[in-house]
Amino acid sequence: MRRTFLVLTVSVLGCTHAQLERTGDAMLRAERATQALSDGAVQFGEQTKAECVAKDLQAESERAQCVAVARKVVEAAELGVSAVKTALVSFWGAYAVLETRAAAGGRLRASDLHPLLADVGVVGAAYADLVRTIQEAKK
Amino acid sequence: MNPSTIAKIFSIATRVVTEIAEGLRKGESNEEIRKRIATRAVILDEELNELRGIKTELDDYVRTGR
Repeated sequence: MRRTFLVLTVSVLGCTHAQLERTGDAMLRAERATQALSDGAVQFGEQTKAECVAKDLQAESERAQCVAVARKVVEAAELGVSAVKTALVSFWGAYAVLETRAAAGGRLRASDLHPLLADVGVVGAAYADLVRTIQEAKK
Repeated sequence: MNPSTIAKIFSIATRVVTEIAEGLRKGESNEEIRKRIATRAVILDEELNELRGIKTELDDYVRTGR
């Protein structure tokens, strides 16, 4: 996520069209990282279930305890992916409009990018929540 | 999730991102961007289905032991 914010900071200092492309890069990074973490959460859930089944736990409370961490991670990933999906549709829709304007020789203002940055912020926050949950679960 | 799994995930993510970012820099038409949005939304829907599936599996296991 640090890299994403670095890209955004650099983009604010550059020309607006370059900013647009860099913001797009930042969004792609955040999206892909979240998607990859989601895959990891599914894998973690499957692995945990297999390990718990092998223990042949008799009490429901024991089984719930055995999968508690994995369930928490999977639930956090679900919330994160859902937030990313909403933000990406909004982001790329706005991106396409600005890209069209720039391609037609129109001048972009820095303020045109504010909605895009807000969407990147949503993805960044979702990603940070997901990473924090995974780190807490690992403790 | 162990550190090697996370490292592997980030390695894959970085490679894919680089490929897509290169495509973006080459210049995509609006139609291409729209197609990509639709593709990405479908991919994320699949992710959500997988996550919901494993959550249900974990709940079923707690309830039934299987």
